[in-house]
Amino acid sequence: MSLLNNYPKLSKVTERLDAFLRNKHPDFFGKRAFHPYLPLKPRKVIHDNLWGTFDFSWAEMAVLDTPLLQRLRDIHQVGLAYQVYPSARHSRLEHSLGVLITASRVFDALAFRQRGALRDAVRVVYDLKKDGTVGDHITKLRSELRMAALLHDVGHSLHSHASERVYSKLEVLKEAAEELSDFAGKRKGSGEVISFCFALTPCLRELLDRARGKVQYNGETGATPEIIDLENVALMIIGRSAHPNLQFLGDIISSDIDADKLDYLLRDSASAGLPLRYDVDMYLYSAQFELDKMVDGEQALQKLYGAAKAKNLDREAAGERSPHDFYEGYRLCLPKRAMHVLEQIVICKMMLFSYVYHHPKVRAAEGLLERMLDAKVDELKKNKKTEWEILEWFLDATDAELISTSGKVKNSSFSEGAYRIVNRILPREVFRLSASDARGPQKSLLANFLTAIRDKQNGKKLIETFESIMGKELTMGKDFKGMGWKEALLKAGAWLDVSKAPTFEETQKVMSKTGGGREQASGMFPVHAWQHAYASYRCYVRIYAFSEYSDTVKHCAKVAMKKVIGIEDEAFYKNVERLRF
Amino acid sequence: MSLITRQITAKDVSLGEFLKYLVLDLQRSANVQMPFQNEEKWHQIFFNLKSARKQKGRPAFFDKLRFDWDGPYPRCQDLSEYLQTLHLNGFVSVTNPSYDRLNVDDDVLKAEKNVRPVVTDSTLKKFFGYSTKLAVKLFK
Repeated sequence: MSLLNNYPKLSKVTERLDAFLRNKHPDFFGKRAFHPYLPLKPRKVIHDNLWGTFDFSWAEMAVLDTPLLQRLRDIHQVGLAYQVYPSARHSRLEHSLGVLITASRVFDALAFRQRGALRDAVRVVYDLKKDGTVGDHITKLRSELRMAALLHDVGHSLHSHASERVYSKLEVLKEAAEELSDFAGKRKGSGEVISFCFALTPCLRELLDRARGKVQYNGETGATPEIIDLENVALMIIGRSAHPNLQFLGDIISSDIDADKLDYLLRDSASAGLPLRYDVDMYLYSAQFELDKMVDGEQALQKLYGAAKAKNLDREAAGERSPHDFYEGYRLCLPKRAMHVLEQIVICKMMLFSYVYHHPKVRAAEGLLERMLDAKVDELKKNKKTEWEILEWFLDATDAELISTSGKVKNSSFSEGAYRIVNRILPREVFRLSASDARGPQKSLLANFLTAIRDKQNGKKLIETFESIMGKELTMGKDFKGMGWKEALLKAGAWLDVSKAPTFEETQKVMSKTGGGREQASGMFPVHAWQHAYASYRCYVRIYAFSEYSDTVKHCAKVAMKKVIGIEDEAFYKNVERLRF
Repeated sequence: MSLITRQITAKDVSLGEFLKYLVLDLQRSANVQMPFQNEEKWHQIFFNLKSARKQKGRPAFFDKLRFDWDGPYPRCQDLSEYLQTLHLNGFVSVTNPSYDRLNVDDDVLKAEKNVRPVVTDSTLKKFFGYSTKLAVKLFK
């Protein structure tokens, strides 16, 4: 793992994941692994309900047929959204295949339209004097891109992002995410740490080597098909590549206009039954790679390309063209003529947040699950489990955990919560707040509160202060006597839910105009106005409670709001109270 | 009185509190137009502040402030998100229909004492002065 030589935390995670896979699935990853057992066909066909029929290579099938990927069948792509949209039951596996298909289509479209530029770029990257092997390198890059797409979500655990928010709090992952952000030169999260490190595990390399020996070409086994460089795959997973000339490959997997988004927007909306569309054909017709500056003021990219052993690098020193040293790299972009596609993507994303991800019942179910998982982690820690063991619990868990626990005796907060979620006995909103709820002097207090709870450094502390006041009030009631405030909140299904408005970083991008010149996308359509409207009428801060405790929680929440926000006026509370009728 | 607005020092001030204080200062004490739609200059200011390691009173959070090296200028996602948060939650308002400038919301400005963090640390106060000057220079 030369890529990780100077990154001890990421190396450690990779080692632990490797050991985990070898122990957990010895037939696939252990010393005496024998899968894939039968000879492999060079290609196989899979039918997808969204994108149609596509073929997959032997390498993709070998990885797909391991428990590492198969567990994604049992992880819902949109968490607990099926509590509101019964048909939103598509899995992370379907999405992973969809991203592979989409990434492949984007690559093929670029390679078709910019064939010459691609060949020139590849020739520089691999230091090729003659044209002979350029085509082979392009084919190999395409395979690596597809593998990155297949593996990009491999670290997901039960109910997708709901559990990700919990295991992301583990120190080992937080530290590794910091290191990965240093490595990538851009902020990366815990989910990406796991997918990135999984791609670098030696046992995955061994599986692919074994599979390569089993591929049958024209009835003959053991011919040597292309070798996939898993380091390139790992780099693409985090939105990078081994050379600035190939940066557009990283962009296809992880950027503001990536294949992940192209798939989930259509898949999530179609599964939920919402007729949201964007013009995918126009996207494929217009997408292009274009030279653009990537400044490198803290030498992050220099280290990255050094670790990737990139050749023929052209780093330009700070000067007239930029106050920072920079590389010029090929970036994936959409030209101005495809502005309506970007606009449609933004609208689709906003609608999905509005109707699915931020739906009050979806937030209630996922918020409850998060609290159950937090309690589960506390319990595991009390039982002297290490953070690595806790992480392994998450890597092993799928959505079945919830359903299997819900039928058991309700002897823990997890099993009680599971029973409630499975039977849809969910908390309801008792208050909901947004910036448009106050005027005059109250507005400054409310704006101060709504911004302070979203402050990365101090927001969590403030939320805890709020909840502790609410919980301590609860413990004064007869139903919660003798309990700690956290226990009381869990019993009442009460918490302060702070949703994060979607960001539209894609609109910060500049689009090139036909005939020259560039323009920022956010200046072409009223995205800020839409965002503002969304935040005022859709993106609420909510206080939840189980129905049987809603009156009690209402009283306690009001005490907390008065103390923390500082608004005394009863009319304000009447306005933000949620009534059943 | 709310529990939110608190006394801040260079050691414990957060990015969010720093930004609130800075926009209030820029609005009050300097006749400057703060950009909104194109964030580049905001990122430039904060990168310069991060780089000003020798400046007395420089808040501790700058040491951990992460910039993405993924485009034509260093971009801090946390800063970008918090600028949006201030807008989406009514702390600042933006000029319509161009969205090119931001101003502190009129109601917030009228009740400024409710929301302005209290600076007790004289070196931090000086650093705010330095930051305001830098912002005025870059925004002009």
